[in-house]
Amino acid sequence: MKALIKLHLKENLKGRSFILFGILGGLVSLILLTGGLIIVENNPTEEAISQLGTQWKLLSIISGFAAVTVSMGTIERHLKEKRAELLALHGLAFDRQLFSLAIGNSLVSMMLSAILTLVFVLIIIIDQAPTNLLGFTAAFISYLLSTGIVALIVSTLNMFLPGIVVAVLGVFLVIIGSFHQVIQGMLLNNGQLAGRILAKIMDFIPPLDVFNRLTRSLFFLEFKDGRDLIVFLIFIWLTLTVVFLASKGVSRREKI
Amino acid sequence: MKKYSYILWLLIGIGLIALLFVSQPRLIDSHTIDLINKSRRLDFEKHWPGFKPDIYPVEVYKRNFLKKDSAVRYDGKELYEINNKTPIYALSMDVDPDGQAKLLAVNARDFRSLSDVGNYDGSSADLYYQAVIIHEAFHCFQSDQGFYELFEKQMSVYENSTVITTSRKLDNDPEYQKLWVNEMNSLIDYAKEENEQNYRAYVECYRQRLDYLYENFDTEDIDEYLTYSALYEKAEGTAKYIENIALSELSGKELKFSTTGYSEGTSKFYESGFFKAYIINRIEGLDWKTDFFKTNKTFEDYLLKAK
Repeated sequence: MKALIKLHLKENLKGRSFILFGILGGLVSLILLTGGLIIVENNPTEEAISQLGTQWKLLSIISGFAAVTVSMGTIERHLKEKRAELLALHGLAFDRQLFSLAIGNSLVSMMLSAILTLVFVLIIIIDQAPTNLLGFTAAFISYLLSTGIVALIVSTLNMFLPGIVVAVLGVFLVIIGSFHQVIQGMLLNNGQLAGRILAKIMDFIPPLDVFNRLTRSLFFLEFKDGRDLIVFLIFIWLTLTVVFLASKGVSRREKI
Repeated sequence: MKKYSYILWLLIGIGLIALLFVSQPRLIDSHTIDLINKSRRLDFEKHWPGFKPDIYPVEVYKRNFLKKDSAVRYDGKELYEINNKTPIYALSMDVDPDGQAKLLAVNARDFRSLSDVGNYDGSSADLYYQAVIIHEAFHCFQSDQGFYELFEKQMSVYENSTVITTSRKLDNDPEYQKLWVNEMNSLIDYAKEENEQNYRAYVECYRQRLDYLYENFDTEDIDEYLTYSALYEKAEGTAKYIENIALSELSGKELKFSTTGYSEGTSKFYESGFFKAYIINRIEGLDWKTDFFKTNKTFEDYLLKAK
């Protein structure tokens, strides 16, 4: 299982995509640093906090898209390759192959997300952001895990659906997840029964904006809301469980 | 061994979900109650005589997992759940059938989620929440003055008039937008520094905008539009003025005057009304607040006589 994850990482971690994501993340960070501040009249938040917070928000959205790109077709390709049968003959059960690939996708996405933040980290160090090493580390871990969740969900979808459909669903997942609470608020505000039902259904879509709020509160050393952390941990648990069960289900269907 | 690890994994999940339910407040979370209490305790007597935010009950939207949502009413002392009606998810005001004005609110956590695009920290979101509570409480105060009834009545008349069409036309007119922004900038200058030159500059910008309107549109339509915009400015501008004062007092920072440019619809009237209320309030010896909501006076009635 570990060998397959390592192989998957080796195949996907090409230098070109790393450089590309490094540049993309750098550009986003620099653009926001030089005037991308979202101004709200009489917003009492310190300008530096507003700027860094907006950077965290945008980087998490881009890293979500990166996770979709990395994960959207890998399982489908693996199902079509002879390698799956060969690995099964060598003792690696098919369900464990799928589980390993999903974990591999999640690790690749996390690495790309880390690369995205390179310039941002430099800005944090140079500008002496209002945080400390512990706060930054905790925030960084939660940021990476959020991306990992997206990759795992997209990988699971790819066990049942073609890559192109998964790509579209993945993009929706990132957009809706990143503005989850606002969309849910709009649905509740419209007062219609359909809106209220849709808002309830949205409880089962990962609230990436809540995860991002958790990241920012850890980063700015103002973590108080334990519920954000509990919701985050539940989604990690739920996603891993779903990936595990889906791998089992698909392996039974494929009968390898 | 494998079996035990599965059981352990399952137990972790059950534990987390149980923790989520345990951490869910029975009615409203204590942080929201604390913020509502803090905002209700603010004293506005010197800013707007008669306005007491603590006399209005608050109905907070309660989101229930896997069951129908409800509202929780809080009057500063008692806290109880209302299950027999559909709650409204909004930051607004409403009037009970018995005539009692009340605030409609979401909890502080939801409020931060709705207003935050990464640019708020937790403590600022809390300050903003308190200021918005005050904004809505001021609408309750307007209602007690009889203004809410008048506002609602007028708005229902406007629904069937040409004012919405005129408003849309102006929202798509670059020349009008330019004149509006010029007027806002002149108001900002005047708000920042009270002198004859800034006053004259404002009056000139106001006249230019009015001239443009009457030269390019039907007189009846413009008369109606100006009454409509004045009513909106009166309702929302004064509430924004009180909200900004609350924000300034809570944060310990001075009031800021800036414009984000021309915004479509009615949101621009919050900003313009705030500038005007601030400027009028500075006029020494002028009692404009006592009957402002009881008469059909507009900001211009005071502003244009300021010198």
